[in-house]
Amino acid sequence: MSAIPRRDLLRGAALLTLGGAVSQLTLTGCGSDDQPVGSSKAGPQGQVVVWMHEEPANTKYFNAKIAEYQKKYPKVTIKPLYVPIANLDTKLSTAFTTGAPPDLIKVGAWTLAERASKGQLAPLAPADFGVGSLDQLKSRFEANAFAALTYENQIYGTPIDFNSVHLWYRRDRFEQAGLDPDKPPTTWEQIAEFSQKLTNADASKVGLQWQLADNIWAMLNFIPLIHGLGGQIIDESSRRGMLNTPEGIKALEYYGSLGNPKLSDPVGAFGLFAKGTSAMLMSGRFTSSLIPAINPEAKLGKTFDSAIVPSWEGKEKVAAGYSWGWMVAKKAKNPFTAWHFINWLTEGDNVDQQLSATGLVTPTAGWQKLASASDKASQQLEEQIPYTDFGPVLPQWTETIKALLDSLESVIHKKQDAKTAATAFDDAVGRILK
Amino acid sequence: MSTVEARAGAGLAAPAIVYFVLFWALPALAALYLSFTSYDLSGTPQWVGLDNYRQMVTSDEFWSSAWVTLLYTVFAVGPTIVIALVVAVPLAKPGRFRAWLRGLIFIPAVMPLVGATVLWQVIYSTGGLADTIAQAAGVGARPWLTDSDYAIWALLVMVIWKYVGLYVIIFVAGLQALPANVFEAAAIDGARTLRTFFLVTVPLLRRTFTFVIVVAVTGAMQSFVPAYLLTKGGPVNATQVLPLYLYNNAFSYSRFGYASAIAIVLLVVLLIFAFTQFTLVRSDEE
Amino acid sequence: MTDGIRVEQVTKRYGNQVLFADIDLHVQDGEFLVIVGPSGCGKSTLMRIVAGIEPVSSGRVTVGGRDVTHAHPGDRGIGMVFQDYALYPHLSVEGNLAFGLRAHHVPKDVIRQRIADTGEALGLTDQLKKRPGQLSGGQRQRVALGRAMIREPAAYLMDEPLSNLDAALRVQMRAELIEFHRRTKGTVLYVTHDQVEAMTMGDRVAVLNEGEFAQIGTPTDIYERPATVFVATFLGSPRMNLLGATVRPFEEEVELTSGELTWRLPRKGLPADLPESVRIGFRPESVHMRVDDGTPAYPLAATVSYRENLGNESILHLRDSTGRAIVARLPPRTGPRDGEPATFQVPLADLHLFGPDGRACWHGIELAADGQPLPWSA
Ligand SMILES: Nc1ncnc2c1ncn2[C@@H]1O[C@H](COP(=O)(O)OP(=O)(O)O)[C@@H](O)[C@H]1O
Ligand SMILES: [Mg+2]
Repeated sequence: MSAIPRRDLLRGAALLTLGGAVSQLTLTGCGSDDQPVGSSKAGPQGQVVVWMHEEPANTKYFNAKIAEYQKKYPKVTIKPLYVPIANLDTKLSTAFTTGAPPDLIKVGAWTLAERASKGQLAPLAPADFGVGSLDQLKSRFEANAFAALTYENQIYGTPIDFNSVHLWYRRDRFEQAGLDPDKPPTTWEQIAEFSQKLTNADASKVGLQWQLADNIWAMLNFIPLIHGLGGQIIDESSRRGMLNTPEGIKALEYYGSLGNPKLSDPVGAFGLFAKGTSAMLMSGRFTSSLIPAINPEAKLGKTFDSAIVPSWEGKEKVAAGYSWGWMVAKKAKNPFTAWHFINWLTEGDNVDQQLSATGLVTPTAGWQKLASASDKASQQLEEQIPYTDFGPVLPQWTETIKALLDSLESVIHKKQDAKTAATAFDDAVGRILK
Repeated sequence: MSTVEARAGAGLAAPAIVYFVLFWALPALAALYLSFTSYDLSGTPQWVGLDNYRQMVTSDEFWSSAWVTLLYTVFAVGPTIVIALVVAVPLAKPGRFRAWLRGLIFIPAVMPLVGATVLWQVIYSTGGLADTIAQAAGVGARPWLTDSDYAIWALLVMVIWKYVGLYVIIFVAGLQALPANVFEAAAIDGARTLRTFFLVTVPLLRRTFTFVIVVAVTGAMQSFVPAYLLTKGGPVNATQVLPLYLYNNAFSYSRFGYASAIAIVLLVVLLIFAFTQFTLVRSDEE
Repeated sequence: MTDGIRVEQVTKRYGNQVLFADIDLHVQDGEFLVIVGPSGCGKSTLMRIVAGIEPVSSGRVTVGGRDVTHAHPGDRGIGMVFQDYALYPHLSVEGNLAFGLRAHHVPKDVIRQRIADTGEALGLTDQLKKRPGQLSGGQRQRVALGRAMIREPAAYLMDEPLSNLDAALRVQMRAELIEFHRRTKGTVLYVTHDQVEAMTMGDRVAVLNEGEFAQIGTPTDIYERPATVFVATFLGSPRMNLLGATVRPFEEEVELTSGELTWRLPRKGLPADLPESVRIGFRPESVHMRVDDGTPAYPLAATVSYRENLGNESILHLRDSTGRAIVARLPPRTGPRDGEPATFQVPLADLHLFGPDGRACWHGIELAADGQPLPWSA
């Protein structure tokens, strides 16, 4: 037996222990043979292994597109692996650690900084896209499209499933409360006022209900509040938590004053909204199809509707957004072909087809003029893009936002006052980012 | 012992030794080493001495998780064992109807946890079955999963429901292996149900008890999937058991050094526990 | 307590299978009654019904004159000794002995005294602190007996208590049990499939077969006057020889013919309705070498197929001229060798006659009882 480097043994052993202790982890190695590598001269060829999460509509669309692409470029084999969404990140981390990652991945942009900082990802190279510079590539997309995909001034991915969070409200609940369903609230002050009117005596029906108990959604609901006041969650240059500031505390207090955290539904805030238990929800474009899927009696335009994100009175609007990204592993054998395929997915009417088939937005310039983007929510998304914030880009994103979630939860569950919770968050950030 | 015998003995023990070294000693030693390092799976582990342990003992979240784990273990294992035993005693007797019941009670144990969790989320949701029952009982609706005072108990009810069938089956097997004559002798001696249960059944089931307690406690102390699925550890970390805290640190925050330190602490506690249990049984068998 | 155990009209069914129907049994006060029968005939079940561990399908059980048919096993005033001891493995000998007393809330000092007495009576004084697992088979059986005794029951039930012991220990324990009964004068219902135990221990023996008692009587009675072919062949080893025979009147006598064998019996004392076709039975020890001393006798010519020399006796496997197998038991070192022809004889008084229904019609011993001169007597 040849000598195995000590470090590799340790890594394997560490994974085994933790895997044993937590019992659910599956180890996956994925060796790939040497394949002919595509290049701008040779054209796309060889094999590209791509991992993404399993979602029926998307899987169907993606498989069809792979077939189409391979027909056009017969020298290419795209091998997709669809992983349950809850397992994707862990499975990827394992694959990267054991040194056999897939070539191409589709993951939440919020995990990009961590992977980039660990040297797992290859930064975008103009040549792979047939452009002279990255600015040329960027110009093909919406202005803000790469904000979430840039870490330390390098771009590591291209956007897919791009979303900005706006206001969803129940027209029926508005009418019952004597509010004009054609005049949704435009300021946070109005939201508070409306919420009061929409909340019944025992708070079994409420106005705005935040998306609780979830990292990314907690952040997406909170950013418009704190950024709208001119504050921020983290100061990225000094790497300090910024909740214990007048803006942070006001935002926290406001956050804690709305909704009823004790309401419970198997699909969370979406379920409460779909049933009319809550009358307002901060969510993305996909909400228009999700709500009728949960409750077929809820009809877009009749029962519920959407509006632009509110702002604080007299202050600038700030929306929160998220994006997923296509990323290529640094160890990928065939980056050119991988990017070629992703590029091709944005060409012709593929973006249009993708949006109508899967509801996923690829924010190419002018996407909003496509037939599939004619709906109200798409237009609102487009309108919000210029002032959409994607949150901090940090390798320690998950841990940091978990700390934010802890503070938001302890305020809304009245375990701590805003000041204490803000301090706790700032302390936690100090520890995490030290 | 002759050399031949010694060699044969070593040969026969070899698979066990290899297994022990490969799947136990080596990972445990690696985790022990990593617990003194800072390591995010990229690059090399950086030696940090006792930093991880120091951070652990000063972390409120660690202690809160340890407390939650203690509650979780005690109140999952205790009621599970009591319920399982009380149910197993009548079910252990022969009969087709009882065999059918045994099958029925085992269903949750073989149900996928993900599906079971969704079921319980529906039961616990506002206006769900749990509310209906509580209202009928005059307790009134409660925020089962969304209040930090209730969530741990709601989680425990689900966990007990999920696993009690497994222990019923183990107890049934244990009970059926007991000598029927001894129970008949007890009846002739004048013992009724309760006396027989406490003075004959329970002591005779000693081995089954040890097995069940060790399996249940070590299982509970390592269990994080139910909490992860049902409440994600919330609200406000009220259901964040230690293994979930460990899992989050390892796989969500890439803090493998710190996670290893937690794993080592868990491991030591489990070893002490299991060792005590088996020693008690052995001394009892003298 | 003056009535022992009564089983009245008891029926036991398992599903459709009837184990026994409407059977009766009375164990008198102070009597040692042994139930014997082939394995699977329901001996244990009957005993368990008396103990209350097994419910009756119908019928009545009384112990000491009290109807206990539906009483809890602990309230029947019985003590039971099981084949495999059924001791509480987790309790010391003391704990085993005390268990029943504690269940009946006997005061502590009384319990202590009785444990000491029982331990002494059974020679267990040095073993009181030990667990059953640390005792020998014989000691365990004594503890089991002690556990039954200590509550001073109205009756003892013993289900093959010796069958788990080795041969030597069994003989010793058998003697101890006989001694125990002599001393305590307890009512004992004892189950065994071992005929030696049945013959040596019981005041009376009840032979159970196919759901009914074939015969209940003293051991001598059962041996000398078996009521059925089953009883005749079940008790006694080697088993009784049985030969088909025809009955014909012959002058003042009755002539029995079986192959070349012939006996003549005086008509007097025989049942009037003797069937024409019967089976003659005689035990191996009733087959003797022919002694030509001039008395009338019925010769039996046979060849020795093989013989088993057991030291104290010899078992000869014979074949008569028509090829029928007959077993004889002779004193050691007597009789012909293998393959040798010889002439034997069987005394009339040792014959048993069975009708076609298997019931006995006549026993030769009646002749002796009548004081008649025997045509041939040993
Ligand atoms: N619980 C039962 N269900 C059905 N049949 C039984 C049961 N218990 C005993 N038997 C049957 O009853 C018969 C008598 O059993 P048992 O009383 O133990 O016989 P013995 O003690 O004479 O050997 C056996 O044929 C046995 O198979
Ligand atoms: Mg029996």
